[in-house]
Amino acid sequence: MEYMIECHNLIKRFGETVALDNVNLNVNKHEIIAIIGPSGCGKTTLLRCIAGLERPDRGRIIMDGDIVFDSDKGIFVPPDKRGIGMVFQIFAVWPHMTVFENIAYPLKLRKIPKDEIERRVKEVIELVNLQGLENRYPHQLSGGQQQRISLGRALVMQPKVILFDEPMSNLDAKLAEKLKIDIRILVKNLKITAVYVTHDQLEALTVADRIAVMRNGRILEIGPSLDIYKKPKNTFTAEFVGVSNKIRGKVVKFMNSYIEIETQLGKLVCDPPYIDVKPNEEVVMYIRASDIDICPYPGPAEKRNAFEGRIKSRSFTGDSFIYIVEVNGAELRVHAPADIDIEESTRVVLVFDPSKVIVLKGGE
Amino acid sequence: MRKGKLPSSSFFPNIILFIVMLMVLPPIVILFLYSLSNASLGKLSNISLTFEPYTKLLQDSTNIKSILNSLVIASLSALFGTLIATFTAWIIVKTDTPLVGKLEPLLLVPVAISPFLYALSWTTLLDPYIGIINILTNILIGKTLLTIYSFTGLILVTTFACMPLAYIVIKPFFEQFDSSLEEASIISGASKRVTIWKITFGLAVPTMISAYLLAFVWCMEELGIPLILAARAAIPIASLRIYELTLTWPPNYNVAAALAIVVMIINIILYRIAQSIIGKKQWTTVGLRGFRKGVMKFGKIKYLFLSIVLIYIVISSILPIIGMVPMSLSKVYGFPSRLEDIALDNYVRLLSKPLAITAIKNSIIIATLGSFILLVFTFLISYIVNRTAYKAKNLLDTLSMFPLSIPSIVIALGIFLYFLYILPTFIYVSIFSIMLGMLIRFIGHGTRAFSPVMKQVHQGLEDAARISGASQFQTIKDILIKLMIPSFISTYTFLFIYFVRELPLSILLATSKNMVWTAAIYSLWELGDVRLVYAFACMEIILILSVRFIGVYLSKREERKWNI
Repeated sequence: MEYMIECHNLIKRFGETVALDNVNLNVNKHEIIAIIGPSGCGKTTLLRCIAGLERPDRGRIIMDGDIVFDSDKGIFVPPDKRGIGMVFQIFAVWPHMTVFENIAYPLKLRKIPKDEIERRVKEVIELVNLQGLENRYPHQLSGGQQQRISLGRALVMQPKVILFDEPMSNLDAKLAEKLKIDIRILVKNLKITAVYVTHDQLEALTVADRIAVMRNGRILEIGPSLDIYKKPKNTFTAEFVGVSNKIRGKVVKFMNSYIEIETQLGKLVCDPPYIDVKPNEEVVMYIRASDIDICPYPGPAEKRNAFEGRIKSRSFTGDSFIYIVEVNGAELRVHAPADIDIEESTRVVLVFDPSKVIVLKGGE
Repeated sequence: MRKGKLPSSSFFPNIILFIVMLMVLPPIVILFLYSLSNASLGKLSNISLTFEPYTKLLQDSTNIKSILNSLVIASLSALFGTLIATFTAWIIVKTDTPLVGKLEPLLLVPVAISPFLYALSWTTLLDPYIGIINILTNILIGKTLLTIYSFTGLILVTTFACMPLAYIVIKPFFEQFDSSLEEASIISGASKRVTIWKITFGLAVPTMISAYLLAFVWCMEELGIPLILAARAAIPIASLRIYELTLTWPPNYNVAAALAIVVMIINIILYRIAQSIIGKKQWTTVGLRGFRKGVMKFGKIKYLFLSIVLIYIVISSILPIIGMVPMSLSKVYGFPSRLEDIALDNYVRLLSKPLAITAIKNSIIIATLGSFILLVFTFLISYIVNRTAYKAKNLLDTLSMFPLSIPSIVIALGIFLYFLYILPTFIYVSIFSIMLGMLIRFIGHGTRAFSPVMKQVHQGLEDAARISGASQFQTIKDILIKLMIPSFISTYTFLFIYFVRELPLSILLATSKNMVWTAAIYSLWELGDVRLVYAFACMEIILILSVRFIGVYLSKREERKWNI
């Protein structure tokens, strides 16, 4: 299958800092790919290079079969000739234009007849749910509505590619929740290819088909969203996607159906890992706080992966409890439903399923 | 990670850089050459370097006295000005004194018109013969109160004139002052008086020092006030002396240049010190979260504060300006004591003089056209500096700001010598020489006005236009310029005012053929016809204040339109 966007060996420096360190990325047609990573990892630079707002030092970018950047051949197609849409972190709606004028601007630049502009803007305004606000100025609208203008403006040219640069980071959580689902539905319905940059792994999971994790200017790993979440291939990804309990240990027994690992907690059993480990190898294990069950002492009859501990602290977040439980000198974080309310200092037993343990190579 | 800018060709920026270099560098280079040689007019080709101008400078006691006098006047005026500014700013920002906030524009009148016109206005009050106050005290107590043409007069007027400058530096400090610092002191058991003294003013000291140094620098280079007040009393003042040395025959350009360089070095050192104080972050009490603004509540004493501010405004702003009006309308020489002495005769007589008409016409042409050229040019400079990846953009920025750091009389002399050297006579005696000179003098003012505004316009707004399919030019036209309209209006109006009221360059370059407004006022003053002077000065003040008012009104209106 042909790719919609291909980035080959992109390198971009800003003075001393290397923002992109030999980045390769292929985006399939009609796919939404999210690029996640901490700030300064190069994700925004990568997006801006695809947009043409930044010129890489080296490499090649191909969009829908056309070379838009090639350092060897000296090709650089400016952003206004790439025919893409983009939604910005700061909304970037023009304060001196009405909603209508903002969305119509790309069409006006292309000298499209007035009645057609009118028709297409109207369509888009319905698409992004801004009916009745055509003649308002951005400062009269909420942040969420402003971001919808930005989205409408990006869609009005019916681009093949749309880029999102942390579009939710200036919106409050409730608005963002609705908008990101709307974005996914819209982009999928219109069959557009999208690159979506965010620092929020949950946002990426909601919106994207695939996720690329970036760190220090490199793409660390890339894969289907659920795999990145459930089966991260390295410790950085695991920690970035929010796995909160980290346990070090050593593989002591290696069977076909399970392995046993010696840890500070005690002997721990888990499913054969998807990475290649050998007996006696040092490994790091991750367990999600929500994958651990907390039971009153003495706990279940079956003692596999059951560890006795004492509740050190308890905080209520509204829909769940966060317990910090001390087990053999280690501290584990447990998210429990609101109906499991246990006093601090109580003896408890923590239990988790062998399939929920993520095992990764130990050497950092 | 938004440091990267769109790539663009460096051909156009190179041309801009080249023009800026041609504008700002030669005046200073030529000034140094003159100060280090015996070069006379137009003979820069075969000069030998010597320190003779500096030895000549030191041999003449008038020169030494002029520097010392300038230092004394600057140090005292800046001190008084800073103290008044601190106290007034504190009353306006940090106390609950009523009304004072609305009166603020009146405090700034001395800088809003120009020091030259301001000094002129004081002569209507304290001239030994025709000054209104002196005439009154002569009647009441039998002697004149104070001759404005004196050391005291110089310090008085310079103090009033530099106070607004110190005020502009100190006011933001009080505005950003976190009230919880004061509350903490009061909770710790300190009285209100101790708190104001030790905490509020105690923390203000570094800002006051930097305000003092900036006011000092300004007083050192100011020419307008000594030109009116010191020349008649034959008090040597450095800035005035530089000017006078160009008037002797044969002109003493080398010594003038040497004196100019001495003044420049003194000012640059003081300016650097002030900058380093402002730059030190440990003094700032700003930027913390939970920062609280607040005023202290005062009892009846706030009415005392109000009356102090009122009296100060009446003395420093209202009286001198009001003094000008009857004087300019007087048929007799001096204050019109009878109603039938009041008429528009002076204005009619003035406007029948071809020189005055030429001066007004020239000034309006130079200001209208010159500030437009500068507006476009400095916009381009700011664009290159803030929005492109041009390699030499820091150099361009520094060079365009360079004239700002040079005392006005010094850059004026440098431009004057530069033009004498390069401009053919028919251009030199035309208004183009004056306009060109002012473009050099004020290029930094324009860049300084644009750069912060352009930094405020988020680049994402322009990126969005590029993505939407706009070319770089369309983006500038449809987005950047539209969003900057308020600052275009305000920058244009203040440049216009600067161009109209500019003094040192005008009196150095103006001849009967390219006479300009301010220089014409000065030449009338030299001729001694004060009624015409006051009429002409009144007209200039009215022009300046109305342009300023219109500019503020229009830019505010534009700003409100989109709520940016």
